[in-house]
Amino acid sequence: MKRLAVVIILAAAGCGVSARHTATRIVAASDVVADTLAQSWAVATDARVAECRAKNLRTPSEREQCLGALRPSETDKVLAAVSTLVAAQLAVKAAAECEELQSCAAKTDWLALAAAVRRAWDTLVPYVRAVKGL
Amino acid sequence: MPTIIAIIQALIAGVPRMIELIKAGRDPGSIRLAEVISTDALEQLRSARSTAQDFIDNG
Repeated sequence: MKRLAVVIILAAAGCGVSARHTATRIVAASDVVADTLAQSWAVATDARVAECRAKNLRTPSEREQCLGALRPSETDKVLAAVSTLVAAQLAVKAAAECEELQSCAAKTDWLALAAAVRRAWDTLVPYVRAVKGL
Repeated sequence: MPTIIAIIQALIAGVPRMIELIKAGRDPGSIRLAEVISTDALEQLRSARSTAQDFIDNG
């Protein structure tokens, strides 16, 4: 019985480190995705604006229509998704810092933090696909 | 005596894994986290939005 308890404690400690590792890795990986998406979105927007400008469109409505999926209202959706991701990333960062300082109010749920980053990351996927097709 | 053997066995099995995970995740993770929050992505998107809005407003 004691042997089992020791094994469980060590395994739990190992899992804690592993979950933290997972959370920090997913933050780094999601950052790459967000940066790549933002760069691609910016490049595509610049290119589309140049194309539309060349058409000498008269009204704001025509110009907005010309921008299509890169119009500001669509970019706002991407901004909202990335903002959610940033919030989830910051929660991981805050947890990492409070553990470093041993000042966490409660035990850190690394898996929940990692899952929140993952969910936020998932909301970027349609935009990553969309910008590839633009 | 069996307890001591169990502890030694658990240490042999668990500690290297913990060290590996700490090496792989903890320190690099902490350092990386300070640098990888996606605020640059937000700035780029805001800039792209501004470019598009300026074109709509001013042609």
